[in-house]
Amino acid sequence: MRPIAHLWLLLAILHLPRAGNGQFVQSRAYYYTPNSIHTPYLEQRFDGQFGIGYSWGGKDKALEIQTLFSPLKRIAFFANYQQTGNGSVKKSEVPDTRLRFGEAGLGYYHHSGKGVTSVLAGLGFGSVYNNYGNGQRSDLRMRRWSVQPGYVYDDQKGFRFGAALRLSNLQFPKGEAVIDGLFGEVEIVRRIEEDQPFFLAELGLAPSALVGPFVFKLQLTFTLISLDDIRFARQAFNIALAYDLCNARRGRDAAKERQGSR
Amino acid sequence: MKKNYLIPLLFGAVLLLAACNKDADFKYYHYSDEDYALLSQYLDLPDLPYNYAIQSPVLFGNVQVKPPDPDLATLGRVLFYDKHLSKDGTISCASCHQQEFAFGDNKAVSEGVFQRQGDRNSIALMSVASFASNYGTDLNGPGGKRFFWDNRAETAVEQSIGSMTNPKEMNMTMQEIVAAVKAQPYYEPLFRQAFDNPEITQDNVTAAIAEFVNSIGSLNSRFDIALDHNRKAGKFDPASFPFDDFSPLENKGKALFMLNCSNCHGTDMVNAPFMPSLNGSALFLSDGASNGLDELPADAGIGGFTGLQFEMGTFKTPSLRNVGVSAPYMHDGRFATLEEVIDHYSTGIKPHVNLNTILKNQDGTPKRMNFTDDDKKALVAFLHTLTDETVLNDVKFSNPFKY
Repeated sequence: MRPIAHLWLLLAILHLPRAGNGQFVQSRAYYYTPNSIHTPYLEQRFDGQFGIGYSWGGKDKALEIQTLFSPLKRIAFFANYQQTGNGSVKKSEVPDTRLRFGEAGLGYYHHSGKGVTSVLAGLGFGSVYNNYGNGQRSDLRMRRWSVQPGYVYDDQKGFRFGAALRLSNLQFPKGEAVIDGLFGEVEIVRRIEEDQPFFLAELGLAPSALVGPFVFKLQLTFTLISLDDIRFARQAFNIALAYDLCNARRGRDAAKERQGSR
Repeated sequence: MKKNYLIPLLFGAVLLLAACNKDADFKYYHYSDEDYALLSQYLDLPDLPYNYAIQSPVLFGNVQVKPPDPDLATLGRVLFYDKHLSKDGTISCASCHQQEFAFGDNKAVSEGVFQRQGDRNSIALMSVASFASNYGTDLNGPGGKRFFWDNRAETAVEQSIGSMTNPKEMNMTMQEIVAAVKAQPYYEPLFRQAFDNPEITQDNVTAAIAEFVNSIGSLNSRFDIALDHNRKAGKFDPASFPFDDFSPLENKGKALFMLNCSNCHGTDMVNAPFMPSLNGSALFLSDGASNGLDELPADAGIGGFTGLQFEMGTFKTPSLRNVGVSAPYMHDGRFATLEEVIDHYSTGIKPHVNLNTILKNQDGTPKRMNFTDDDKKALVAFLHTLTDETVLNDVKFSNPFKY
């Protein structure tokens, strides 16, 4: 392990909250922002990753919790949660957005050499609540199923790079809009109602640095087809800290080896 | 090993089933519950007003002067279809401007209150790409086209007042109009929604009707789509290229039209050019013309309004969108079919002192375009490509009344 070799990555992580505010935060209502895509590095049964992070993609930063676990060889389960804003958004007198989205799924992975190939499939539910101010609001329920092939390379020296393509079907089965006068927003809500389901292709690129059992992870997630006109965020930038069971196991194995060799 | 593959496959199948899209359940709240309940007794209005901005994949030119206010246009739509605004309660604006006929009617001259015969044919409002960007000096300055066959109104407001107070049309005074509007319970919430000051006044009534009329436009005909395809391919002059989207007959008709008719009716059907007329020795630009219908016209047309000798017997030259569904034709509806119109231009133009220059030979005699039967068929085929089915069936322009 050579943490100093990944200093650039840590510096980038420290810089991101400021960069994110400037580059990704939007000052208008939005109706969807992509959450991070799993790029799992799993070698065997009981490997997994539990992470927490922030992403910038819609209006404010979003909290993201991502977990992944392999209970059986080559089979993995995952669960994610994404949240922007909180209950105060509903009472806010200034325009604000609250998005909540949770998803779970499972998939297949195959470890070979320094890489892991995986295919995960998931189903998620959530809601996006836009408070436009002056008592005007919209509240849309979301449902998204997805399939995501991915590949992760681990150099075995503390650096990983993952890429995954998430193909998803996003639906808004229910919605409510109280809008009087903001016809631009009405049009967007109407289009979301009428044009759904949306077939999204989202690419996630994730370099990460390992320090002991922890992973510092960056991810840029962006949609390949822009839906900016209906205020779907085109990209999100995520920084996360995760506990990595695979690397923890490697550490334990290395320690045992060292003990055995003495 | 095989079982491991089966689990995600099974899960994927479950997800696919989950992806089957059920009808979305969206609710919009614009009116209060009480207002909407009241409106719903009389009117079939959506819970949110329609968007009256012109929707077209082919938005060429400046067709949207200003986006219509949806509340104001909704109120205007109700007023437009309301028969309470006529003396005998039988006529609304929509009686003579029916959506299925491109907002004209199918009579030679329109019929007003007490079955009185009007003087002229109802102009199809959907003969333009965009009412707001063509008509009205209020929206378009001095270059804005004027209203009626004789150009006597400058704005949609003036035009609506003219029709409501015409004894052969709705035969009301504006005071009676305001009183009739106040008497209907459904107007109070609609005015409150449309105006900061919801008092029902003549100005508010006519502003709402004007907003609805000005939202009318037609840009989704086969001609528009083909024109757009050509423009995207770098072919900007519709006169110079056959359209891939057209049949050979339609393309032949287009070529004949561009050669013989477009000087007055425009090449892109968006803006018919102003035509030169002679006012003494000075060149004068007007969108009116005599097209040689009569040697001695009974109707003085624009000249009857302006009193100008060189405009006697001239009439507005309309653009021709949706002309295939707006028969009969001419200011007096004398021609029942497009074939009859084409026959007129082919061999029937009569001499007239103010006959448009374009329709004259060098010696001053009326031109004979001498179309063959095949030419006539081709022209009719082309003119039908100007029909825009979307606006003819667009619910936002339809009758909102439940009775």
